Amino acid sequence: MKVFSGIAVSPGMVSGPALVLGSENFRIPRKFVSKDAIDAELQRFHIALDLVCKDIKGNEQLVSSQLGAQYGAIFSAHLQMAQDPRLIREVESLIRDQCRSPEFAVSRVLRSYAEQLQKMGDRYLSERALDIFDLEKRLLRKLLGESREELSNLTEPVIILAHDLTPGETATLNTKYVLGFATEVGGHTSHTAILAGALEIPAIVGLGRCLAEISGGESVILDGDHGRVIIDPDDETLARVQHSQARSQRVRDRLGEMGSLPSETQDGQRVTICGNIEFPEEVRQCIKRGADGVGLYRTEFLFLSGNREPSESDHYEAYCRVVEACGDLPVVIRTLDIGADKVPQLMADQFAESANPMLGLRSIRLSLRNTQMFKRQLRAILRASVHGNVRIMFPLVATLLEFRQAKMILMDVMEDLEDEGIPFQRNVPIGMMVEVPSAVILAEEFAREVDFFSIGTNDLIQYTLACDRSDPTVAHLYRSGDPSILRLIQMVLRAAEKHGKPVTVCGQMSSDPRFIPLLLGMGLRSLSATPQAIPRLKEVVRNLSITEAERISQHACSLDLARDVEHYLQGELSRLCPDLVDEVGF
Amino acid sequence: MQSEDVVRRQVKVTPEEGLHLRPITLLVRCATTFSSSISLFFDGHRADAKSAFDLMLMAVPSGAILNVEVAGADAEAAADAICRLFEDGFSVPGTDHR
Repeated sequence: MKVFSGIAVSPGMVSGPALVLGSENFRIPRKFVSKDAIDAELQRFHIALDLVCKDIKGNEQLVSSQLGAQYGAIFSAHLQMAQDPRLIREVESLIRDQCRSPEFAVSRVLRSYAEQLQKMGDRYLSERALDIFDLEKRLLRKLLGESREELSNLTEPVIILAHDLTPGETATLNTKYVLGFATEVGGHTSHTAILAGALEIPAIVGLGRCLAEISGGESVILDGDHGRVIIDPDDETLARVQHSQARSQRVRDRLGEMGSLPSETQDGQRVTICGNIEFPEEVRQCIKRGADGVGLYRTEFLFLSGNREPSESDHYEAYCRVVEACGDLPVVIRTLDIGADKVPQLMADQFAESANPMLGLRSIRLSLRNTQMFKRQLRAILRASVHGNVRIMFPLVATLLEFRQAKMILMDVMEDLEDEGIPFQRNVPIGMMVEVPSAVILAEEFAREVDFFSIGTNDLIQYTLACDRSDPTVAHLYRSGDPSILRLIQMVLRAAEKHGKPVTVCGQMSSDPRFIPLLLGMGLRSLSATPQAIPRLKEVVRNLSITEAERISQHACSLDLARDVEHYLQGELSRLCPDLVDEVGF
Repeated sequence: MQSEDVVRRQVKVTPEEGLHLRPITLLVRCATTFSSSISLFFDGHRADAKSAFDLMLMAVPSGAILNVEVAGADAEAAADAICRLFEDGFSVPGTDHR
């Protein structure tokens, strides 16, 4: 048994026989052509180039229709490279002026580009060298009349182990037979990795040199969750993996049917589970899984995807689609939350020189500075409010004054609409995200003024522990189970209860089944999570009683290290819902 | 014969990652819709705005100022379109595949 580790780029675990694809070394048969053959050779180059362009367009259409235009765009970049005037000029010149063969010329010119990109020391651009090698292979294959037979003639399931797979090869993988793949080279941002994720094929890249030790046909386990490839696993490992695969399939099937079942604890307490969405299309995924509404509708996409500021009707149309699709179910629309890691290009100048963007101009602070933009969004939300059950939520509120200002602007907009005779819901509930420690400390004061709270754990953890989780040197401090975080959530729940205001937890903590008993035990009755997580959350709720949840939360809150809290919650979860806990380790 | 228009402009590279594949793809797509020749100058190098390889190999970082030189019958319109791309920070819906 041999184990190789690489970068996990697409999750899932599969086992099957290895199909080894070595680095494709094209043997270029001749470097020179005779002078009187030059015209014919130039023509041969152009025919090959046309065929390649046709293939790329085919890839683009296939990928766009199956995975969406954003993935198809990878191939429009490839097509531009194939039609690049500099490439064509330099290849033609080598053939015409130096009597080089088209194969040699293509390879020489493209390799010189790739080499220069790799020398730039820029990780993103040097990975683009792989796209150039893709083009080189495509051209050489057409010129030499060869193709990777192995990939197009599959008749049984295989796991591909390759030096490299080009984006073109990845896009056309026959997913009926290719269970997964692993490559020696490549990184997170390579197009091959992105496509694997979109195709939902388990995949690992960056294994390093390992193909020399594999001859093909061996039994392979590919663990796309942990980035491991196991060659010739011993019987015990194989049995464990097969067992876990069968089990996770059964669990997936069972959870898939969870949608229609009520989310109710064993002792009859109803728990509201809503979905977090970003795009209107995602409402369908929430409804399908039996969500009680949309607990967090992020509106940033309107700003991040366009090249102009969204108009009132852009906002209105998007909101109406969500609100109408939800019928009577509530939709919590969060006003613009950009800045820090999400800055649309069209507003880049406003964010220019902040040394500390997480503490800078973002979210509600930005909206309060750009009242025109803010009012436009609020008008659209209010107009959409007559079509369903809309609630408005302000993000990142740190002071009472901010909340009051935001609310005042909302009142202004209501007055304008009234003057213009445009209908809207006058008593639309107005709430806020609790994600800054100051808002927790003043939770009682806020609770008097808001209609509801929604705790955004991601930012709350980040601000409370003063750590940027994208910085690997301090990311270990970022723990949902940190006792300080549990204490803060309790403070919010108590203040809200005192004033009879509802609380929801959104953010990654509420998508993690381990934390559900803890949160319910603390008194929370409403969650909002990524749609994919809803069936798992329901499973926990349905296996739990409030008495038990209270016992779990009391014990968890008595522990003083994040590690101990998380370990304890993990143990409780595997007792309550053994199916949800991944027990496979190697 | 009609005299050729030459239009000169300056643009700033705003995308955080510099002139990478996505902005280059948009730039080339835009440039190839015009008949004029469009050159970008940076740090003493010239790149043809219709050549993705030229642009990639010029390795333009974020914040760089480029000189744009457009020559041809539709020079004015081409220069406007190129400048608009830079000003909008290359944000066009549906093309971000990263």
